[in-house]
Amino acid sequence: MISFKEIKEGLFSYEEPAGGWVATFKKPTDLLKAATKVRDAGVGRFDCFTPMPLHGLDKAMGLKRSWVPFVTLVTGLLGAALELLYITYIDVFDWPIVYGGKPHFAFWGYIPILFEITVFFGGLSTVAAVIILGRLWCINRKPVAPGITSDTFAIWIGDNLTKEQVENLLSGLGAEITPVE
Amino acid sequence: MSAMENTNSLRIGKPYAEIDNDILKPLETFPTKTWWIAFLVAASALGMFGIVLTYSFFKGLGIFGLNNPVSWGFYIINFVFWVGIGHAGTLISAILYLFRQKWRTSINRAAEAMTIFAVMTAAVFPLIHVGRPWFVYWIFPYPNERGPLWVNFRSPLLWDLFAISTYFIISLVFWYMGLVPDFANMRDRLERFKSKTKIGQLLLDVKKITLRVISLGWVGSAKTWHHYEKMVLILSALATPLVLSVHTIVSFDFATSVIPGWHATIFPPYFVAGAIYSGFAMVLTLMIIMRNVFKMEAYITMKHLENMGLVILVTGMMVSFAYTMEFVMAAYSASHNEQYVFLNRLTGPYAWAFWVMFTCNVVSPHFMWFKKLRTNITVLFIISIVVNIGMWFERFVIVVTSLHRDYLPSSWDMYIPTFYDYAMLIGSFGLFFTMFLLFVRSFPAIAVAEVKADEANEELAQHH
Amino acid sequence: MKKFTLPTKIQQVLLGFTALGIIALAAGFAVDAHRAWAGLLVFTFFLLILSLAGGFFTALQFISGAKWSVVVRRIPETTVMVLPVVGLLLIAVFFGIHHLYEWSHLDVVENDHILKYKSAYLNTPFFIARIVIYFTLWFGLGMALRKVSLAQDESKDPAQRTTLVKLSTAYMLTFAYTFALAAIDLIMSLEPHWFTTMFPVYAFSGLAYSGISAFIILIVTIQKHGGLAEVTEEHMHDLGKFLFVFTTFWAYIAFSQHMLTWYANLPEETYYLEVRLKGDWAIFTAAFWILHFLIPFGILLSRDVKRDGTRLARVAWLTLFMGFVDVVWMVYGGLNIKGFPFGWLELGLFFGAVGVFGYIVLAAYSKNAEVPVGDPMLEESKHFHQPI
Repeated sequence: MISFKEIKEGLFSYEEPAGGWVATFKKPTDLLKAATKVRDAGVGRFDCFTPMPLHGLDKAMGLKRSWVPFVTLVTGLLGAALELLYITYIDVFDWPIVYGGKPHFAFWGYIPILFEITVFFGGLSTVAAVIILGRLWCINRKPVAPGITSDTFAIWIGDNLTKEQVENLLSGLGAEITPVE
Repeated sequence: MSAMENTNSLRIGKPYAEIDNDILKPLETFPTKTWWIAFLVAASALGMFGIVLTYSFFKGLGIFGLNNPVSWGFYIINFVFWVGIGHAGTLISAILYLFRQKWRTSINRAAEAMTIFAVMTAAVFPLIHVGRPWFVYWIFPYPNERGPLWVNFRSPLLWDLFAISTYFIISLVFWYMGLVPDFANMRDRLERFKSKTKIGQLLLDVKKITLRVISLGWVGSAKTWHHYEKMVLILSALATPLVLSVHTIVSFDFATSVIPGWHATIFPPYFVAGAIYSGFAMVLTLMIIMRNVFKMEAYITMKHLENMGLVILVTGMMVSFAYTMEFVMAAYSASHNEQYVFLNRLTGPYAWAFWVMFTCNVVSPHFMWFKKLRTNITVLFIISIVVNIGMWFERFVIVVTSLHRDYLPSSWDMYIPTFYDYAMLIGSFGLFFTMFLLFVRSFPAIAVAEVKADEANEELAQHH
Repeated sequence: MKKFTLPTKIQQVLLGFTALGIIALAAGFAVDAHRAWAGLLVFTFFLLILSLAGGFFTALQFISGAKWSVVVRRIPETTVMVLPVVGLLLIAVFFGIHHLYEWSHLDVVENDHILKYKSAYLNTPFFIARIVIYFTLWFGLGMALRKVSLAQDESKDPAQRTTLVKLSTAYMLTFAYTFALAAIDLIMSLEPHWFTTMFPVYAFSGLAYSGISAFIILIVTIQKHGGLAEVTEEHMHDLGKFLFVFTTFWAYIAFSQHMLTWYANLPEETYYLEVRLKGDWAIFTAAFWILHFLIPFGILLSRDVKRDGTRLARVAWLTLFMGFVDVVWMVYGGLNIKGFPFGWLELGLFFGAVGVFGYIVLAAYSKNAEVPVGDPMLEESKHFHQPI
């Protein structure tokens, strides 16, 4: 099971790049190598920026497993439970009418609606969770380097390192290193 | 790793920036003449739709060919038809994703858009069919001052409302979230544009701000992608049963009744297979057009079209299996009513509709057995349209042939569609195509980030 | 070519299970012959669906061109070897035809106009002829698939895959129609007045569900005893997903059949549910839904369970058992079985089925290469890993 600490870390793991250095690459393989090196060097604050999702980058960066699925499961089930209560209140207590000889509490007939509600709550909460976790409500963010939504791969190193240290760390990968204000 | 060389690789093999240009350039230029002609045709059909719709509000449902035994006519046929079309989009974006079918990436965006527009088109019909569409909000189960007057949670029509709205909202959200990285791409591309005129600059600024808002400040952080990828997986896992449930519930509208020809327990999987079948046929039609008009041969390759042809073959045979089971079971049942309905389908006054359906749905997909035919664009295009005609007739056969014979022979009647019925049918295509044409002009019709992801990840796999 | 050696211990256990099944059946005949005949039919049909599931699964992999499954393909390929035993059991069932099938009594048929109408189809000679035809097709095509695949181990000829794909297509088409008819003949005609169009699909969903459970158990057992080192947690994950999908698929089909029957409430259809929801059956059916669907579904949502062979096999034992109970549910309802529909006889027969199936499949499996070494996609399959 997931602990509260992990949830807290998961929520606040993302941080805006401020200070430090940005190195850009033209090839996904180089970025993957760079991410591994940076993680192995024990750099605490760093993030990668890519135009597309890369398989294995999360492992290379040492990211924890996303806990988004738990949000889906919990809210989906919660939604279904609430809906069942609501329907029961209406059909059994508030307005008990017999239709087509079916019992007031017609469980077989509720399953389709319960299913839809589970998916509805589960799906929307998943999207909401990603928007919160990825801070996608901050619409005024600027890309850390030009072209990272097109063809540039970037790594941001936020720890206090000199340019030489960063160059040594990423030597041989053809990185272009620029400072971040 | 040479053994891992994929023999039928779908790699495009272009630099990422060039892929961006290929797909996003058309959105930054003025529409072509072909587009304008197509748009005008679609928009005038939509205009007719609007006029007939307004007229029917004033005159009532009497202008249509409905009568007493056939109380569900073209409206329900069109409804089921369009909902069915909608299924392929989710199938491509969710089910093929779960099956790790990489060829889906080039076509999933347009297919998802098709889903959303098809569901919107479909939803129009039951809304009108309720008779007093201005009271349609009564179907929502909220505490009200009309009684207490609640909806009937045991009614399949209410299940339909829940299913279609959930399906529409989840598909829309899924589609939008898929668009976010591409919107960010468009936003960043816009930085290089400048207009000389003041009004041009104003329009450009509006576009820039809009894109900035709808791209949700996306900057491609790996930490965001990490959660985002999980979300795509979950939404796919949710959308898969969801899409199956939608047509299942549509089939419940018929199957929960006691009308021979409607009450068949095989209806749920049978309707789902039929929906996928017609949906794929529609995707194929649209993709062939899109490919030729926007010159996207590098992205929508012969391999894609061939695979869609194969899906049509498989689902066509599933539909044939369901038809067979219905007839086998009617023969086996020794139930007079069941047997009469199926015999009537084969030989009755609407037998022509049955045989159109049979030729289009059961016979035509078998051309896809031959590689020569399923790699021929003309053949594929014809088959895709033939299948959709067949699937429309399937719903005609189910709805009209089952209804026009009642338990009481004195209430037997024929269903003769009027001009307004046909106008609504053609108009619904106008509504659908208008929305689709607007979509291909204003949104990236191919999921750029996903296409590039396939490219990049294949490169990574080879370096491993 | 590495081969799996079947440990003596496993052999003894499986033979012990078989003996248990035989003892239970013999005791069953001594106590309540009517129930024992029904039990024999359950036993036969369960073995039939397990062995057909192998062909179905193999054909599915070939037609879809799946690469991940090459390392595990040998198991489903082998299950066709159980079919001869099923053939013998079917002959035994023919001897109990009067205990099982109401339509086989000519005097009853004479006084029942529905059965009289159906007697053109439901009569003993035609019934036997149909079963023989289905059986020949299943056995012939299943063995052909197995033979070509085994021949590829020696020849290493990649072109044989084309033959296999063609054979698989033939198998799939034949299987779809013959199995549907066989389900009608063997199970649905137990209640000869009843009919529903979903029934063949329902029987198929049970086949896929029990089949994949059996494959998972077999693969994990083989791994525990030093075989199939190529199968990693990535493959387990996909097998787990298959089990999850077929659990859900079964629930979908079962729900559609039951809900529509319940909703329309037609007299000629609804009594099928009626008898299964009254008396002892009320608890049985409720437990059936919980154990067949809810519990495995809940457990299999977890990614960790799907990736861990040991835990996945535990779930698979439950689902295999529930696949057996499903057959009991279908068969016993129409036969006026006295007492609770699941007792020592059925438990014994379940062990018997596990013994017979496991022994034959593992013995045949250990005669050939563990994995299809001649398949050109084997390397890729070994290095397969889940993208996310």
